[in-house]
Amino acid sequence: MNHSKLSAVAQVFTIKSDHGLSEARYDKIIEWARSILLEGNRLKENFYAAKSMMKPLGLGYQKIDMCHNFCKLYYLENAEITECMTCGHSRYKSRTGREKTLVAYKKLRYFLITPRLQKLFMSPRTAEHMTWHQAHDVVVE
Amino acid sequence: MVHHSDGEAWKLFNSVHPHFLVESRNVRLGLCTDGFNPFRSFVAPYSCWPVILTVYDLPPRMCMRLEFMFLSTVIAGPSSSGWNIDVCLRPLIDELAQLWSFGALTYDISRKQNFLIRAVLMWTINDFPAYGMLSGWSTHGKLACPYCMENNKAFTLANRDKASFFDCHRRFLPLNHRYRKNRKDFFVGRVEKDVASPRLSGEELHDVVSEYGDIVFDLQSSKQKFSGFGLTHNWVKRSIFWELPYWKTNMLCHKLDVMHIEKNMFENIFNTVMDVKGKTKDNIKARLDITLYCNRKNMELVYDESRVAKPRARFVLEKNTQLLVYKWLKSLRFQDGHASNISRLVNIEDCRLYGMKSHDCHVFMQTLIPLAFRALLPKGIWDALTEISHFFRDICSSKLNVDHIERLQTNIIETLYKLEMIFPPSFFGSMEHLPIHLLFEAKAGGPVQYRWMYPFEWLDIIVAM
Repeated sequence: MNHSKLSAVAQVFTIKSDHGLSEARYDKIIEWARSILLEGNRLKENFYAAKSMMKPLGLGYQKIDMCHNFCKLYYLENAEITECMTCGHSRYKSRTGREKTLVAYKKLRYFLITPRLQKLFMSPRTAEHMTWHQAHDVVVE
Repeated sequence: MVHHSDGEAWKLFNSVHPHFLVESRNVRLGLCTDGFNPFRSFVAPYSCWPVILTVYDLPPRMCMRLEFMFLSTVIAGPSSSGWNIDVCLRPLIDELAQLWSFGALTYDISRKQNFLIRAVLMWTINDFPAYGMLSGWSTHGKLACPYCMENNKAFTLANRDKASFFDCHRRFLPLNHRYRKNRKDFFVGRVEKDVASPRLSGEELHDVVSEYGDIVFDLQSSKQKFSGFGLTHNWVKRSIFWELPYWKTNMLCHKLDVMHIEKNMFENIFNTVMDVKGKTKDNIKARLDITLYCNRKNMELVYDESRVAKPRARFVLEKNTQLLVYKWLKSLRFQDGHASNISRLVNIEDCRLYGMKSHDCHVFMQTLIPLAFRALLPKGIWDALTEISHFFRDICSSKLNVDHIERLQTNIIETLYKLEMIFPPSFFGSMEHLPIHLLFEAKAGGPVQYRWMYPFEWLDIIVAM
C-alpha cells in the first residue's frame, strides 16, 4: 500500500491517541519503524517533527489565560490585563529567575467548533449523512 | 421514535424558527460537561472539566459516536469552577451566537457548492450536580427538582438533616384517585388536594430568571444568594445560556441524565434491601423519622430496658436469604458483551458488591432485580421493584412509542407511590423523585441513547489517556 508522508503520520497519530501512547513511546516505535524501512525513507523522525507537519492542517486550539479563581478570562477586551479586577489575583506566576516568558496561573483550552463543523461537510464520508434527518422526517410523515 | 428528530422539542424548534429549517444542512448540537479526575486517582484532588459538543443531525448509527463528538473546552485545575463555569464557557457561547446569527461559509462536497452553515445548541446533558451549575437552578436542598421548582412538597428530615421527597408524587394522580385520600400509608394524616403544577416554558423561565440580577463571578460567588433562596426559589445565577438568542424558544434546555438516575436508584434499592452496612437507607435515624412522619407501628424502634432494637423491615432480606442472592450472583454468566462479569464483583464473606460500574448497575436494574428477589421478598414489594425495573427498561429502549410513553407516565406515578408505601422517608432523595419527569423528556427529546452520559463518560476516559 502506498503511503504519503502525511497519511503515514496521520495513521500513527491515530494509533497514538487511540491507545494513549506517550511521546517517548511514540518516538521509540518510530525509531524502530525507520530502522526496518528502506534507506532514504521520509517518515518523520519523531513526534515533534510530525506534529510540526500536522499543525498547518488546522483544528488546533487556543490557550486563553484565566483568573486563578475563575473570575475572568483574559480574553478580547481584557487580553492585556495582568491582574484580576475582581479578586486582585495576579495573572502570571512570579518569576523566580531566568524565565523569559510569563507563565499564567491558569489556562483555558478552547477548540473552535466552526472549522470542525466545516470539516464534516468537506469529507465525502460524512457530508451526505448530515441531512439524514430530512429524509427521515419524510418517511415518518 | 427512533431519532431525536422525531421528538417534540425538535419539531417545536422547527416551527418557531422556519428560517432555520430552510437550509437542511444547518447543524444541531448537544453539549455535555462533567468533571473527572484524569489521573484516575481519587487521592489527589484534581478536577478536569471537558466540555463536549455532539452533532445531532447524523443518522442513528453515526450519532453519538466518538468521531462526531468534539472536545470544545478544557477547564483544568485542581478545583472545580463551580458556579463560575459561565466564565469558562464565554468563548463557546460567543462562537455559538455567531454561528446562529451570521453563520460560516462552508463547502459541501456532496453537492459541490458553498453554503452558509448555521448551528444551534439543542440542549445540555449533565449529571445532577452539574445540571445546577449550567442551568443556574441549584440542585440541592428541598427545591432541588428543576421541573417542580418551588411547587414541591419536599421537606427536611428531622433526624437526618437531608431533603426527602417522600409523599411528593400523589399530586400527579387524577383528582378522584382513591390514594389521594389515604391518610394512613403516606405522610400521616395528609390528604393530597394539590394538582401537579404546569411546567414552565422557556419564555416563562427566561422572564423569571431575568428578574434576578446578574451575580459577580469571583471567589465568593457561591455565597452570593438572591433573597428568598431555598424558600421561594433555588436560582443562584442567570445562566450564560440565556444569552443565546434562541435559548428561550427551546422546549428543553437542560436534560436529566438517565444513566446517573438509574445508577443511584439501583444502589439505593439494592443497599436497602440487602441491608448493606453504612449504605442502607433503613437505619436507626430512618426509623426515628418513621415515628415522626408515618403510621407504621411495626417499623418503629423498640426500646428495651438497656438497649434499642430495630425490628427487621419487610423489605429487608434476612442474612441467610442475602447469602442465597450473593451465591446466585456469583454463579451468573452473561452473554459476551452484555455486561461485565458481575460475579467477579461479589464478595460473599463481606456480603457486598465491590466496584459496580454504572453499566453494571444498568444491567442489574433492568434484568436482574426481578430475578434476584423473586420469591424472597413479599409479593407487593417484589411487584413494586419489578415495576421500577421495567420502567427503566422501557424508557431505555432504542425505539419509543408515543402511546406507550403516555401509559408509562401513569405507571410510574403508581410505582412511586407503591415505593412510598414500602420504604422509609429517608429513601426518597431527589434521585427517586426524578423518574417522574423522565417521560416528559423522552417525549420531547426522543430515545434516551442520544441524551445520556455513557458515550461522554467514555470520551472522558479517552481524553484522560
